[in-house]
Amino acid sequence: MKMRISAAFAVVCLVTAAVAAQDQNREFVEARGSVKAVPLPPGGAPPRMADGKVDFSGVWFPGPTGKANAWSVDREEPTGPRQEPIPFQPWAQAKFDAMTRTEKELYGNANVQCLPPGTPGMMTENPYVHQFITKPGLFVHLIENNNRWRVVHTDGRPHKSKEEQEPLYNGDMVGRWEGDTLIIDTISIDERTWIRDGWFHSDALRVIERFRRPSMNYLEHQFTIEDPKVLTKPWTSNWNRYTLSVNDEDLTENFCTNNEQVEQFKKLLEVEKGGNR
Amino acid sequence: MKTYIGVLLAAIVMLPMAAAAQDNRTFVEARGSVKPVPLPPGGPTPRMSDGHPDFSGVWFEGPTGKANAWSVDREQGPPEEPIPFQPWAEAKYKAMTRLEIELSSASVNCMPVGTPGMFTENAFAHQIIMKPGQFVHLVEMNNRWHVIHTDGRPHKPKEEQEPLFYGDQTARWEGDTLVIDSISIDERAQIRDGWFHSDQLHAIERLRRPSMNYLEYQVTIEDSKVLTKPWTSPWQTFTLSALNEDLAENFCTNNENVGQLRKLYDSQKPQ
Repeated sequence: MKMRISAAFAVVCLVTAAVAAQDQNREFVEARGSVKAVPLPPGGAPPRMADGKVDFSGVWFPGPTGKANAWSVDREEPTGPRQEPIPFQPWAQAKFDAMTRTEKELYGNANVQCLPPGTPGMMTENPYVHQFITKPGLFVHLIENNNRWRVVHTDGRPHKSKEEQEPLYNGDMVGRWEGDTLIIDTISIDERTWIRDGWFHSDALRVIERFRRPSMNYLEHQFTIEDPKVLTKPWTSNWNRYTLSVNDEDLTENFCTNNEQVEQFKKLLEVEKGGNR
Repeated sequence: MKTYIGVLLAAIVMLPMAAAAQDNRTFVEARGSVKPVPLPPGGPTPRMSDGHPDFSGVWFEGPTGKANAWSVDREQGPPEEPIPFQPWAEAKYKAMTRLEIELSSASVNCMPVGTPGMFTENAFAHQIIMKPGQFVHLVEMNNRWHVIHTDGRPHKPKEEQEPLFYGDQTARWEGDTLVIDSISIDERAQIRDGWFHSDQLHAIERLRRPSMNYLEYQVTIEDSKVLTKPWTSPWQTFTLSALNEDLAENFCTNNENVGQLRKLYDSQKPQ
């Protein structure tokens, strides 16, 4: 897990750098795959299930290359309008701004503490590979990162009744189709999860995820965050792209069993708290 | 997780009693019936488009199609053979206290259950999703999954193998039985209840669905460094969720029982 976290941390650092220096085409160290991403072709029409709905089944990598290449995900490529800033309420903005990078890593990131990433963290706090298995009425999501799964019924059933709800990492999830887009609507999410990178939430969080597969090789994911106790208005992400494994790879076994990074981050935090920021 | 471990602990404590007292002693009713009412067969085995049986569904251990740790009828079926430990292994196994065995259990220490632990060290619900060539196994306990190709492909070449909790797994069909063959299994995984293994462990698991409502599981353990001969379990019964239930969310995030058991362990140590 150590390597994984380093990679996640590095991605976070690099993305910041990439955003800051969009004109430099800075060449990073080549890890795996190309530094200048070569996007996959569309690959034909999306496959469909027996019920005519789009079938998302497959192994999917973030970015356009269909390979595990944390370094080459081309964040500079325009994939939609510029991302809006998070519409925090003033108190929440102050709290968020006061967090140090180390605090965000240590307390705002499931990967470091080995906690369940939950919803939408399985998508948003996870730079690694996904596997989806869809069947009529059923959406199964597996992630490599710490061997987690979630299952969602996609038959449009309502949420559980209020008295049956309890805070869950994955929340109370229901799915429905709007045309060829699968909508996963989630409420009742445990407050110990994060949207991503220290973005905390209240018990009023509602996450609306949208999945679509415009062609064989491409999957797109967008999520809307509603949280009236923390935000001034709903926030919607850009469409994030995922590509089908080109090498027919499987997810590998990954468990977060004994995470040394936590202790290292805690030491770093001590240094920060001592005034050496 | 606390509740789960409580139930598991209780089940472990009660099972030997059940075996010892086959006189149908009535236990406290937890959930479901104490005297299990087995599900009917429920019709023919469903099949996938390639003609092989489809094991897809939510499955509970025992004959009732419900989560009822108390009513799993261990008395049915042929008795198990004793584990054919080599003398040194027998001595090591017998020297373990009940508490040490508990602490070594994945459901207590939150370690991955691995192979064959997903079936053998797991009293809770399973979900299987199948497509031609693919077997997806989800367990409720600590939210774990694994995926196995069922196209009969060989194991990875020796130089690509590394110890994994699930091991290097391949699967093939023998008639209507799916045979899952696993090697290269991390020595931190265990078969069940303190039954440790070596790096030579070879687990051969067999799954079949004789009818709509029933799934049956058998495992053969080969471990030339620990056992004198291979050991094969009786066929174990699982039943399809009678209430169309889903797996619940379960994460082992902050297991207080480990601390409690460790305290107990320390107090048992000779001063």
